[in-house]
Parts: sequence; structure tokens; C-alpha cells
Amino acid sequence: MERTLEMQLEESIHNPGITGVLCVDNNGLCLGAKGSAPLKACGSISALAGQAAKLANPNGPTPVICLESEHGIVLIKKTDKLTTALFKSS
Amino acid sequence: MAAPAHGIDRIPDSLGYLVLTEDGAVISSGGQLENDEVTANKITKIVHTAYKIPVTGDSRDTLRRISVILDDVVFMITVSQKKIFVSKRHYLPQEPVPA
Repeated sequence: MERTLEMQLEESIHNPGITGVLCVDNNGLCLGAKGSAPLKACGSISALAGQAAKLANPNGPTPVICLESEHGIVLIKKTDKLTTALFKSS
Repeated sequence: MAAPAHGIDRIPDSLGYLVLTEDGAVISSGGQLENDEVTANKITKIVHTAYKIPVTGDSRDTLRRISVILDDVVFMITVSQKKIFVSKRHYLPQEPVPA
């Protein structure tokens, strides 16, 4: 089962500019990571996705959260049971 | 006298704005977000959580801007001088130009 997730993570990390990718479950448990993704942020990423979803229409799509600093971007998207975070350098 | 909006009320095509203190109290608001304390509290929680996520490996490279993209609107959030600035705008992604 993990093999599919590993393959997807491997595929994501090969996109241009991506420095790390992280998958966490709804409890903040890290399910997979590749590259230089900060594992200590797993809980915060899951919590952030949950908090942002409260801004959205409950029947609509979940929001995309984009955190920007001077040299990097984090894109976070929650799906049914999974939250994915992509770390990019800019 | 109206509370200072620090120019955020002059953003073109804005649907609404909020200026909040660090703990989520509304300093100034307008448009669809006028006196919207529920959204103000949700956004304050988002900001506090977002600051715990390191964007890059460099700890000096701190968070500058948070965007929460919903279906057709986007909340642009930034922090300056211990205040949280929020602007709600239409989200119109540009179509990619084929090479």
C-alpha cells in the first residue's frame, strides 16, 4: 500500500523547484516525506489545513493554502483523509 | 473617528478587509468582512498555526504572506507591526500561455 504513495511522492519531488513533499493524516501523523520537508511541522500542517477548511463552504472544494517567504513557498491541500504539503524554492 | 485601516481599504477589487490585533480583536473592517468576528477568529488561528511551519530551512527566512484560496475567492493575509491584515478578493487565475 505504501508503495503507491512512495511512487507519487517520488514523482512530485522531481517537478522543477520542488524541494520537499510531505503527506500527513488527519491526526498529524506523517505518512510519507521526500526531500528536505520539515517532519516536525507535520502536526501544524494538518491543523492548518483543518482550520482553513472552516473558511470554505462545507459542500465545496477544500482550500489551497499558500505560505510565502522571501525564498520559498509551501502549498498545502487537504483531501478526504490526507493533507499534502509541497515545499518550493522561489 | 474611524479606526485606521492603513490603506487596506483602498485595495482595488477587494470584497472586504480586516485589520486585527495579534489575539484576533477587530481593529478595522469593511465590505463583506465588516464586523465579521467569526472569520476574524478563524483567520487568527490560521496565522498562529502558519507561523509554526518553516517555509525554508533557514530560520531567518520568515513567513511574509498567507493566501487561502477558496473556490472563487482568496483571503490574502499578512502580518505587520503586530497587526494581522486580511484582504478578501476575487480569485481569477491567469490561464497559462502555451509556448
